[in-house]
Amino acid sequence: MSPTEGPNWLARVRGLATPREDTPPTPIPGDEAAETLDCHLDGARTTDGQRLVIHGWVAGIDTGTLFLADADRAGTPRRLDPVVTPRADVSAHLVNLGRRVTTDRHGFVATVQQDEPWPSMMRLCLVADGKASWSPAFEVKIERIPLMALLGITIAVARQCSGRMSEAVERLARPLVNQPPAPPTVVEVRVFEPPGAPVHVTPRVSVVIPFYGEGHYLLDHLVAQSRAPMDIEWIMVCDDPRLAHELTQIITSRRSAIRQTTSIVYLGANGGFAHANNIGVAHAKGRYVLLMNSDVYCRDFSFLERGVSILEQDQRTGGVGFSMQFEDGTVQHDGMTFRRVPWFDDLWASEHPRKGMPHDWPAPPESNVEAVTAALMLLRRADFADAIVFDPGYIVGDFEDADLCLRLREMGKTIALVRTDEIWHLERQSVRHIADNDGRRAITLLNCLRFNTRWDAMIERDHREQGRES
Amino acid sequence: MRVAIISHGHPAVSAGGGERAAYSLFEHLKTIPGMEPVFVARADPSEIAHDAWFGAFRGRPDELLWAPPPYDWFRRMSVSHDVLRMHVRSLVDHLRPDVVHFHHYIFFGLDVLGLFKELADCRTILTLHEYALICHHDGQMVKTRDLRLCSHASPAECHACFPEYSAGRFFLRTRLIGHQLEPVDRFVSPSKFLRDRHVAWGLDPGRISVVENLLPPGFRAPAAVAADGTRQDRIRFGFFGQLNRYKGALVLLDAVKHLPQEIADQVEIVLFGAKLEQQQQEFQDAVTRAIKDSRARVSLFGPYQHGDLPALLRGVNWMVIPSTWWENSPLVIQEARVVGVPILASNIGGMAEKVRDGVDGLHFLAGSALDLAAKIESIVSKRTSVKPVPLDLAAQNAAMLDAHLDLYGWSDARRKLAT
Repeated sequence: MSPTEGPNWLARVRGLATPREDTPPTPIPGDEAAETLDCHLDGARTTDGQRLVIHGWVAGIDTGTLFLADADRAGTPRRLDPVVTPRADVSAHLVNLGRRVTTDRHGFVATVQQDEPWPSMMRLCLVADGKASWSPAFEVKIERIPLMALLGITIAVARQCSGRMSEAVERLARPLVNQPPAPPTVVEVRVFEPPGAPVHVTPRVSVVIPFYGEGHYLLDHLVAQSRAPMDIEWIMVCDDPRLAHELTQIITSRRSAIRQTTSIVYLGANGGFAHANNIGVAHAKGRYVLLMNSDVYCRDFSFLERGVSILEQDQRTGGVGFSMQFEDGTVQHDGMTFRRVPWFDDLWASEHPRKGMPHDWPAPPESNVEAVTAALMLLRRADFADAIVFDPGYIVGDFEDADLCLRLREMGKTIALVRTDEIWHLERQSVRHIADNDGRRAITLLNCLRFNTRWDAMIERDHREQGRES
Repeated sequence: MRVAIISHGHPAVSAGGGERAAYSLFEHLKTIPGMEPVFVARADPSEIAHDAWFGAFRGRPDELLWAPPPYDWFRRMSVSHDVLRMHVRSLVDHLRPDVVHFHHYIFFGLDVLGLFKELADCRTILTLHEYALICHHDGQMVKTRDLRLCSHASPAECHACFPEYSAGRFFLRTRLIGHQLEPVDRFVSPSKFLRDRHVAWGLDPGRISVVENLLPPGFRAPAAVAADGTRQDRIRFGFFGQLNRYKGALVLLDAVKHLPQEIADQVEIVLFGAKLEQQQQEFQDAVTRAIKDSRARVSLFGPYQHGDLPALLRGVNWMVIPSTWWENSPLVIQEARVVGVPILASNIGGMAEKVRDGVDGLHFLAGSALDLAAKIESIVSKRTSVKPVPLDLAAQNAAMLDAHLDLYGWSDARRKLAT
C-alpha cells in the first residue's frame, strides 16, 4: 500500500528521514586561517561503534549546514542533521568573548553514522552562504552505552526543543534502530504430539504465541490445554534465545500432559514481535490463526468458538479481537479507537476505552470496532498467503496491531470484537524488561510516526465521515 | 478399604504438626478392621538411603518413604511433571488405593492431586495445614516487610510483598493453583478459621469440611503431680514450639520486661524451643539477649521429644502460645487441653478459635508484650484464675475419626462388603 499524505509537518519529518542532497564544503587542507568556528563538542555516545549521538554547541548553528569531518579534513565530511537546543550558558560565554549574540540557539544533538571506525580527532564545519568555517581539531572520547539509554537521550533532548518532539526523535532516534530488521533464522522446530493421539490431523485453529523475556508462561499455556478444544495446534515461537533452554525444559518435563500438537519454533535471534508472529503463522496449518501474547490467560475457550463462528458466517469480517481484563478485574482491552494525542504532537494513537475501569462489558456482546489488540486476535490464515501478518518496520511491539486492522479495513473488511469474561491479559509484563521509560517512549514515538505516515489520511477521513471526535 | 495417607514428611524425621496429625490418623485407621491404611511420607533421598525413589521406613511395608522430583515453591507445582507421573504410577500400581488423603502438597506439587485422580480414579482428600495456597510468604499470611498480619491476598498486595514477582504472576499463580485443586473431592480444614480464609480466597465452601486433627491413640495425660511436685515459689509459663520469628517467643520474653519486679520474681519462663540455630543471626541474637537480660528466670531447654510432651506440660502452670501469625489448629493446644493446662494465647486465627477465652485459658492481644504482661501479672497476683476441664481425648478422637471415615465413604464401602 502506498503511504498517504499527512499534515505538512509530517511530510517534513518524512523528508528529514531521508538524506538530503547538499553540497559538501570544500575546505582547503592546511588552511588554518579558516579555523574560525566558535564551537565545542561535549560528548559522543554509541552502542555499536558506528552510529554516534554527538552533542555540543556551535555559534550561529541556525545560519548554515553543519558537518563533521576528520581532523585532517581528508575524505567526505558527514553532513549533520542537528536538533538545535537553547544554551543560555553558551550565549554568556560568547558575550565574554566579545561576539555579537542574537539568540540562545547554539546547542545541538545529532546522530551520525559511518561504517568505518571513528577517528579519535575530528573537526566541525559550518557552511553558510557558500563559506566554510572550521573548528580546530579536537579529541572525541566516545562512550559506549546500551541502545535503550541512547534512545532515552534522544527523548531528553527532544523535550528541550521548541519544535515538535516527534520531529526531533525522528531525526535523532530513527538512525539508531535497524529499519526494518532482517527476519531471524529459524534454528530448530520441535513438535510435541499428545501421547497416543493421531498425528498430522489438520487443526482448525493454530494458536501462535511468541515468547520474549519470560518463559514461565509456557507452563500456564500447557496447563490450559486441558481446557482447550482438541482440534487446535499450538505454535510457541521462542523469540529470545535466552529462553530456549527454559522452554525446552518446561515442555519436556510434562510431555505426558500435552493435549494438542505443540510446536516450539526456536529463532536464532530476537526478531521482534512482528517477525516472531509472522514466522509462527508461516508454520501454522490451521484454517484460522489465533495470535496470542504469552501473558494472556484464558479461563476457558468458548471465546474461540464465538470468534470462529463470526469468521465462518461473515466473510467481510477480517479479524476478531476479544475483550480482556487485568488481574484485578479491570478492563485491559475492549477494542481500540484512534485519537490525536497531545503528548505525541497530536499524532494519531490507539486509545483503549475504559482501560483500568472495573469491567462490566457494554452490550452488544459482539460488535464492529476500529481496531483490536493483537495480544489476542483471530484471523483467517488464507488472508495472509505470504504469511506477512505484521509489518516488521514497527519496533518491539507497538502499533503493529492497529496497522494490521487498518490494512484489513483498507481491503474492505471489518474488525469484530467479542466480549467475554474469560480472558485476562497481564499486559506489558514481558515487554517491561526491554527498556527504561525514555527509551521505550522514543520507540513508541518512532512507531507512532510510522503509523501516522501511513494511515493519517484514512483515519482522518473515517472520523470525518462518521462524525467522530479527533 | 485401602487408604493412602500422604504426608510431606515422616514425624520421626520431621516433627511438624502436619506430619504428626497425618501419622496419628494413620495409626487410628490401623485399628479399624477392614481398613488397610498406608502412610506415605516425603523424604530426602538420603533418608531413603538407597537409590530408589521409594523406601520403607524402618522396613515397615505400610510406611513408605518417597523422594519426589523437585518442586516449584512459587507455583506449588512439580517442576518435573512427567517424572512425578512415573512416581505416582508406581505408587498407584503398588497401593491400588480407594482413597488418597493428602496432608499437604509441598514437596510434591499440586499436580500430584490430578495424577492420582487420573491414574487411580480414587477418592481424593486434601487436608490444609496453613495458608500456602494463598500466600507465598511461607504460607503465613504476614507481610514480608514488617510481619504485619495480612488478611487477604491480591495480586497487587502480593507483588508489594515480593516485588520480584509481578502482580500478573500472582494472578496466574492463583489460577494455576485453582486449576490443580479441581480433582480434589473434599478438603479438610482442622479449624474454622482456616476454612474461612480459603473460602474467602475462592475455595467452594461446599467442598471443605472442618475436622480437627487427631492426637495419637497413645497420647495420655499423666497423673496430676502432687502439689509439692511443681515449684510453688514461681509460676511457670511454658513455650513449646519452634523458636522462629512467627511463633512469638520474643513477645513472651519482651512481656517479662514490663512486669513489676515483685511480679517478675514470681515468674519462671521455660522455653522448649527448637530450631533457633536455623534462624537469622539477628533473631538468634535478639532471643539470646532477651534471655540474658530478663528480669525473670528464663530457661531455654531446646527441642523436646514428642513423647515427653505430656509430662513437660504437666510441669508448667500455664502454656503460652504467643504466635504473631494466624496459626491453624496447633496440636500443642489440643495437647495442653488434654493435660488440663490453661493456655495464654494470641487472640487471632486458629488460636483464638481453639482456646476459649476464660474457659481454656486467656487471650491477649497478638504481638503485644504489654497486654501479655498485664495478663501474666493478673495471673501471678491471683486476680485471674482459669481452671480448664481436661478435654476428653478419646471422645474427640472417635468423633474426628468418624468424620474422616465419612469423607472416605467408609459406610458405603462396608455396606458393599456386607452384601
